Amino acid sequence: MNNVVSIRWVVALRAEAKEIIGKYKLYSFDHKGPFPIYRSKNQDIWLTISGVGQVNSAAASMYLYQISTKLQSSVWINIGIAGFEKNYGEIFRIDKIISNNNKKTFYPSRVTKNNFSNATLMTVDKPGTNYSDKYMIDMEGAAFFQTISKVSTHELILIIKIVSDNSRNKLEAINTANIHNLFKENFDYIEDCLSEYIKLSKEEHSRKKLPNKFDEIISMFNFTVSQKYILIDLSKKWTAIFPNKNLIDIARGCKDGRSVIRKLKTALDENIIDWGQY
Amino acid sequence: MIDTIYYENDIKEHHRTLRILSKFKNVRKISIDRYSELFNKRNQNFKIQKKNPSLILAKKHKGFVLPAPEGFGIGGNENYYFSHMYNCIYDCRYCFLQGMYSSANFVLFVNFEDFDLEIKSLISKNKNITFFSGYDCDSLALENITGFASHILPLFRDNPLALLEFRTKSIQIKPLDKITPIDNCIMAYSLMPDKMSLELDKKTPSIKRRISTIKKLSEMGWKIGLRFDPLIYGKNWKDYYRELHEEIYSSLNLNTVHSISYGPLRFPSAMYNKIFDLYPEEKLFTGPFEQNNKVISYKKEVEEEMTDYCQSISLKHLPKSIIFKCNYEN
Repeated sequence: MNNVVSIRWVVALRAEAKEIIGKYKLYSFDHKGPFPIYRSKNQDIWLTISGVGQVNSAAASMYLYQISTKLQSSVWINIGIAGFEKNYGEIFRIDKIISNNNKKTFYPSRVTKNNFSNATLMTVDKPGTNYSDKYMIDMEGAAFFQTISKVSTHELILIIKIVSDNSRNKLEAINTANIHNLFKENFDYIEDCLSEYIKLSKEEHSRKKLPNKFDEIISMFNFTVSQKYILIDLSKKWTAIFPNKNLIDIARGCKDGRSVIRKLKTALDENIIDWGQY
Repeated sequence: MIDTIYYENDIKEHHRTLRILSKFKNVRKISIDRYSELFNKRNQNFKIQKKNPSLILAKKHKGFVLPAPEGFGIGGNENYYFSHMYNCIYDCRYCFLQGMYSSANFVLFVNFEDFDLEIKSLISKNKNITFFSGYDCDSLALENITGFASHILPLFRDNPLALLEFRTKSIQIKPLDKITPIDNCIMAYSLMPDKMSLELDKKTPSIKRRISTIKKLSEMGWKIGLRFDPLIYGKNWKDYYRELHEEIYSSLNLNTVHSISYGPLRFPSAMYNKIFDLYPEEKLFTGPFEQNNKVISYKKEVEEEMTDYCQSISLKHLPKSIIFKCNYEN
């Protein structure tokens, strides 16, 4: 899987998923697992619908991680509705999460800039109407972040919440149609914010990428596991020095994996950096 | 530059926290319990955080002053270092902080007075003691926010038998231009040839501007430390280092030079691997290196040749007694 863009969506409700599925043309992934999964044709974008609550969110996130391509450079997004004493429909990026049941606190990264406001999120286990203007209230955020931060780069985890209920907009009034509308109205902002994360993700992907032609060299000779690691290290260094040369040229004329490694080592040992040329 | 400040609840009423927070009107301010909740966590990414570091205001609870690594010194019997901050606004590619922390946010410990107590206690027990500031951060670079230099320098004026090295690359000279120079406080500048610095000292003042700042401080009467650390190998290194030394020695009143030191480029191997993983495209990490006792460095003969050559230039201008070689093994 060489897709550069890699996005994983975790939402609680089908109504929250609808706009995302439509925008990215995701289709249902046929499988026997416990959570519905959708993915794009070229498998760069995946989505799961966790259901409400922390246990569901944690389980679905980890399930999606297991079933989709496991990349450290994936962007993970939890997006959903939340209670907040602010304007109905206003969208926030979360930069502090308090788990109400165990009082643990998490701090999603603020490295990227975005054009909407930031907020604190309190994740609770039961729906309630004790709204605050200090923090948003949801039922998934803390578990999602706690789970995904164990397997993914913190700076690529994004939590976005949209105000759906407060003292002026009753919890009981929330329905599929108005959730879908909230997402539809805010989707440009969401994509704008997401684009910054995708930029970082691409940089990370490129950093982790094996040098060009590495796979070809591996297929030319037999390498032990430890030789393979040495080869990765040496070929990255060789590529740093000779970005315009072809790694395959080093392998030409070699009779086995060991001689490729020896040749790369010699080339690196003999190279003296010319700081004046940069 | 800074758009987020985290502050520990314990020190939210501390006068230094209030002063710093008041300087930043339009930043997001987030309360935390302990800085360790968000600093240096597993799966954080130093390289990404470095794009937009936040400031964390915290309280240090222990380890205010620590023994300096073996081989680190400028002539004193006892060498210690202290860090009022973790991380740095600069982004030097050889910096060990990249491999030490997974987080690039700046942690500023606001309880300076606790540093004072431990420094004073060590001074009272030791003669010929040297303290190094600027090990886990740059001593002066964020002075306009931290005020650390303004705070700590007078302590050494009152304790003239202890020596303080203030290591920096900064060209901002406040508060040094406002106070009378203190004989036992050395303003120590990290230097390398311009050609190498342009590639490796990211986001730092140029070597030319550093030399001009050194000159200014020297004219004010501050004692100067010249730190050629790390020494960087490459084509024409002799020419580059000779030119650098000559530029410095021709522009400086040599009577104000307190000491010169040369430090080899060395990384503990685990740290080297982490940094190389972050910056695989960086030529510096291609060597030629060797590994001895889990330390990655240039070959011994390269290290020795570089140090000997540079020392020989300095010896033409300054006495041997003030020229030091850092032999730290990390």
